[in-house]
Amino acid sequence: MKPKVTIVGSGNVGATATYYLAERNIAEVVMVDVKEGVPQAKALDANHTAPLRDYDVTVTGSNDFSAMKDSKVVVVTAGLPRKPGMTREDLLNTNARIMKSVSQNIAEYAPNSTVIVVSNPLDIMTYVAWKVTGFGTKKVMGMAGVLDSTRFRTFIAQELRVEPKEVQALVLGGHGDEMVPLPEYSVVDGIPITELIEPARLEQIIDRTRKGGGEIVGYLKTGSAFYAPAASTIEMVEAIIRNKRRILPVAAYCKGEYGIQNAFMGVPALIGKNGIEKIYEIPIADRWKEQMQKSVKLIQTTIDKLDIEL
Amino acid sequence: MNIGIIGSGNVGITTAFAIAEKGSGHVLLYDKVEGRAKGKALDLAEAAPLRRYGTRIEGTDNFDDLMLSDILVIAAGSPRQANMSRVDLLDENLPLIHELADAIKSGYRKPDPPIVILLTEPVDLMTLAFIRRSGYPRERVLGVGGLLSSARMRYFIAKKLNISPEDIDAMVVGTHGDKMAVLERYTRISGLPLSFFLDREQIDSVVKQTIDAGHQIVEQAKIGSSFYTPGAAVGAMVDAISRDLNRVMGVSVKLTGEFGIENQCLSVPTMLGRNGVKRIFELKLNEQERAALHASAKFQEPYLSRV
Repeated sequence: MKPKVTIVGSGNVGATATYYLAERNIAEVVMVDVKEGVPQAKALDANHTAPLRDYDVTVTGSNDFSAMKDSKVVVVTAGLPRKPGMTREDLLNTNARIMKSVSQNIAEYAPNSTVIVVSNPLDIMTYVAWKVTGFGTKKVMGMAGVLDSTRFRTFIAQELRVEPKEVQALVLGGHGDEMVPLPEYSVVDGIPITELIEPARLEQIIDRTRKGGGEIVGYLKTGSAFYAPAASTIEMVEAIIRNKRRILPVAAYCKGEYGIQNAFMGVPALIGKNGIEKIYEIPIADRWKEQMQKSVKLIQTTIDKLDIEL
Repeated sequence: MNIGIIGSGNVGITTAFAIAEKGSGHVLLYDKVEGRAKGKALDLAEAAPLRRYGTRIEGTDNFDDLMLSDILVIAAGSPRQANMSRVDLLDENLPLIHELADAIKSGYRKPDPPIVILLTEPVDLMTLAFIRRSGYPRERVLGVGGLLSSARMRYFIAKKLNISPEDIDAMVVGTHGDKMAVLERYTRISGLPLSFFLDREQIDSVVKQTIDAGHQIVEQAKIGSSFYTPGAAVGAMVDAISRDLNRVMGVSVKLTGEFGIENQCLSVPTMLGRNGVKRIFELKLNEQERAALHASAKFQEPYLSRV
């Protein structure tokens, strides 16, 4: 019997994540959303591809949170997407309320699960999920670093005309504008990109990565990215379900690492069957540590201003 | 693409299987022993419904049938036995490489030369011998070395740390053998340096395991050398070439001044695509790393005049 994974939210990110996960053929997939009929319809559609796409797991859609019962992993994508001109913080209170309600359901129906939060603003939503579920710090994480890294890797691969898979890159810190790129730890088959790309050009690539989400929102006007966010999320789900013990940048609860206390921040972590198995504190420049701490202050101030009870 | 494999021993057929499973191109297996290639090709082809590959696999004992292949893999020659070093095979395998170079050069029927990938030991010297004899451009004659050792090293690191090998890059350059140079600074885990995860003693032990890896298999198996990992390495190289992937991997290529070395073949990081080696990455080595690579070259120097 394959383990169960629940994806909360049947919007573009949730539905795409559901489909990617089904294709990996590693878990029974449940999609839960409060929108009547939508998760059921998208689940059915995904199921119909099984004979063509060669998987044998079942995708189930439901409006009832009890469908997530005993899930090993719960992914939360629920929330409103960002619109052009809208900052992530604008979405804050609405999404925090949604997150609180979802987290209460997770605590009730999937008390032993590991939670991956995808909803923005990420670091804050992850904190809300952690607080409301009451789960241990290993069991709650946010997806941002894998996404920023995959964008960075893509742009590096395009620049050097090499296969994207060959590029490894760690992007830490907050999501998007506040990310901490580490070119000295970004490599092509082991070769640091600082040996391969001129500093000025590298700066442009980093800047494009920073604004990677915004570039897509700019084109779409009424929506945001979902392929890369969904794929990044499933990379984390698979690491947990298959106990792959991968080293991935995730938003993890820090207890002093990088000088951060009591907040979620993008750090390199060992991801396995227990969730966050370990956080690596790597040597990074002081200015990046300062930026992370600045991001944390902003997160904490924002959390304090939330109009929900945590 | 059409891929011809010369030699249908364990390395040859494992390479064929790796190519088929990746779907990189159609495989033509050749062996001078009558019937051997045909029989093994048939066996491989019959696994297709179960392994779900659509690649055509055929066998031949007529060398001329290979002469329209885009890529030729040389998996022929004597393998190492216990208590044997790779250079011990030099005199034994050299005539075969010369014979093949002559036969391919005179018989090849496409306008551009084929891309030739050699596995025959000692691989760096055999690659040089093939280039010298055929006069083919260095971009199109490659030896299997660095990629194979780095795969092994990645495995050893993954085992030691109990982490996924897919996040690990390992860089092994120089000659394929005891004098290979492991570049720790370019060996990374999710981009992070190895020294962040392992202490000096652990790194030394991983490096030793990597150098001894091929040897260890020869000693344990007693009936020949490794073939799964070499076959997988060639499979990856063929895939990069046939699908023009521009993959970065360590392969043995003739150096013409890169790293201050010329006129010999050594494994260095290259970009592999449609026309073979598209780029050699000249790493910014520190003094110690440069010395290790040069020690590797120096070890090979006395043999260069013999090929």
